[in-house]
Amino acid sequence: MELPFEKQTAAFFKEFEKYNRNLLQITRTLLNTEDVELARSPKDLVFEEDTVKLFRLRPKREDLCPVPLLISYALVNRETMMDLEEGRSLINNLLALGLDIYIITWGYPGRMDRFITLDDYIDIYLDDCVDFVRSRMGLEKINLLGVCQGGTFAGIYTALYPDKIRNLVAMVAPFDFDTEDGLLNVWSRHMDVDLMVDTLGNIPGDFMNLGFLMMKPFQLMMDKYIGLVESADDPEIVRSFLRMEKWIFDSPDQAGETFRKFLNELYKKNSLIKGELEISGRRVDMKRIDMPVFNVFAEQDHLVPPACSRALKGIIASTDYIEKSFPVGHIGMYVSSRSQRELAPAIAGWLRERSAV
Amino acid sequence: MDGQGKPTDVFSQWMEFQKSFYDQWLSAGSGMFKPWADAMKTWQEGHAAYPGFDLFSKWSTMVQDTIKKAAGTAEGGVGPEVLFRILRSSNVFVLFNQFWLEILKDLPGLYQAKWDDAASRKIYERWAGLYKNVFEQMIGSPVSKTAEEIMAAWLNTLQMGQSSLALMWGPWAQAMPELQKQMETFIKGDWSALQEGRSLWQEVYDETLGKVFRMPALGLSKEHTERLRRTFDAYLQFWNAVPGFYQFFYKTGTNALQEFFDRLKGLKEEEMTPERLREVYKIWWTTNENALFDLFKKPEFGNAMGEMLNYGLTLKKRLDELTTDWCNALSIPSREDFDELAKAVHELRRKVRRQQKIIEALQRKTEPSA
Repeated sequence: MELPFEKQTAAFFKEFEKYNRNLLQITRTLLNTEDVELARSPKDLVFEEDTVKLFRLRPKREDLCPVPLLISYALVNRETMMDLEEGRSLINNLLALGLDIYIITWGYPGRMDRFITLDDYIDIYLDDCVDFVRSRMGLEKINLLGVCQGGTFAGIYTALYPDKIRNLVAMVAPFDFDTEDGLLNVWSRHMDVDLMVDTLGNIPGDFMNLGFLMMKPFQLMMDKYIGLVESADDPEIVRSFLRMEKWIFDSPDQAGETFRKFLNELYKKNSLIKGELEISGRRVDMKRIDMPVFNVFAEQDHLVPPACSRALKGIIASTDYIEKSFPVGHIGMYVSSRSQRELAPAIAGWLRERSAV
Repeated sequence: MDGQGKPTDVFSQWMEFQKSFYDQWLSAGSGMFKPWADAMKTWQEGHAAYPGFDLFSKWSTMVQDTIKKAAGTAEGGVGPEVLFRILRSSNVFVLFNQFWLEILKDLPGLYQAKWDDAASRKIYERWAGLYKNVFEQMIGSPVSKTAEEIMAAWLNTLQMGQSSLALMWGPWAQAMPELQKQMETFIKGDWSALQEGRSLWQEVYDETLGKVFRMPALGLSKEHTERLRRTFDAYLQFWNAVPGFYQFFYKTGTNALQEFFDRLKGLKEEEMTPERLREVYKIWWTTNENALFDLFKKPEFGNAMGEMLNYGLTLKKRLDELTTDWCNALSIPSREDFDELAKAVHELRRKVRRQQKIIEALQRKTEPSA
């Protein structure tokens, strides 16, 4: 009787031996690798409030788009993903296409910040950043790009202050949370969010990360490291891997009260799409969004399934609404070679067309 | 000395009695220690029953016989009859011995009947009867009504104590065989038995220890005691929830392994056997990943995860409460103090911002328009 893999056994052992050699090599490479940096595009701090900082990216061209673009990233992880490294930087690509970019860094909420609410983030911090850019540029309206959770913020903000936003870009942003496709959506239904916030105060970034890793445990906790070992000889690949690794585990805690409202109101009650969400005592009416909207989503997004993003179309009043999807995952939207080629030109082109003064 | 050669003066008679008594003791020596020697065999050989009452009563009878014989040879003094009556009073110890032996005999029965009120009551009533009997034999008159009432009250108290214990441990004792059975099934690889065992454990725990941990405490340390009890409760509940969560991974992992082998077998049949270990590994991890993804979407997994998370959070909350207690005792600011401070600072920030906006608006109004 032939044993399983009897013919291949010798080859398997050889492969295994090679893997062990690579393991030694990766150890050597890591020992000789210094810490890596992210978000290296030059920028200046122009405004700050509590933990929030607003930076202006130094433009790369003189013929700038006349309406500046404010980027609102998610509270989860950091905006550094948009400027990961040379060759994998959406920010860099947008700058090269002549956009004048401002970006918000939400910061790391500490224990003193646990009572910062969702209303504070949208109606105070985001509003103050928008007002700062408007005032600085002497414009009534600016362009707003929201990414992931920051896209939801941008949508809510635009509905509250439509007179301050000229064009809205939503990127992998959830609006409809009632889906069976996303594990975050499914799991959140079983969580006692109030107990979590009352007990933990701020929700630890590590807790959030554990949840994200659990969604693809074999890929994210094992296979990607095995892949790294196989690239042990190439220090540039290792450095690139380390940048991604640094971004993944650079996870700010979530301000407790913000987490409570975001999970309870949006994930559990889906109140945004139902028109029941209230921010600072005002109901958020998405129908007030009547300016041009560009909605970009990832077809294989496991964190924000396409249906969650595409729901935006049905709840706003914009007649100039465009959708564009990419055959990538949530993270691939920032770093895949296709998005590097196509995403920035699509956003910049769309904005420039609609930003004539 | 008389014609039969017996001494006639008191002193000589007394001496004769002493001698005879000594001889009796000497000849009875082996008989006297025989019951003890027999008793020793119990422990030496390890199989005979403890002689207990028998040992004492045989020994007592033998002592009385010996003394009676010795006394019978003495003609003076208190006389054999009086001496015998005095010695017979030692029978009271025989009575007591018998009483306690009867009580001891009932102990196994009482242990077996510990969760059964009626059966244990029957045994207590038998003890009351035995006691009454001993009392009457010793005193010679019936036990008074008051004494009977005292005895009944004491037995009732004893039985109530036992009933309380039965409330606590009875459900555990009843559930134990089932729990053992489920554990054996689980060890053989059936994880559903673990789930059933957990449910049973939870049911019994809620009926017994859980109630104790959740009942109100009394006295000066009431609040601290209640916090401690709640913490124990949360700790036990959390550790009961953990296997309920992990069982899904085991079951899914086992199924995924089976699927992995099936996929390899399928490839072999199609003569597409992987040539590289990397390919085998990829089939393995993608099979597992897909199996877990399917699992994660199931509501029962979500429930188990939510349950474990909630119990874990509750445990942390309880531990925090205890820490707050200790911090207060040591004059160290607690988490609650920090939270109060954070809230105050937060509200102050909002107030300052509002006022700043008002000032800016007023400034704009007062500035001459360009």
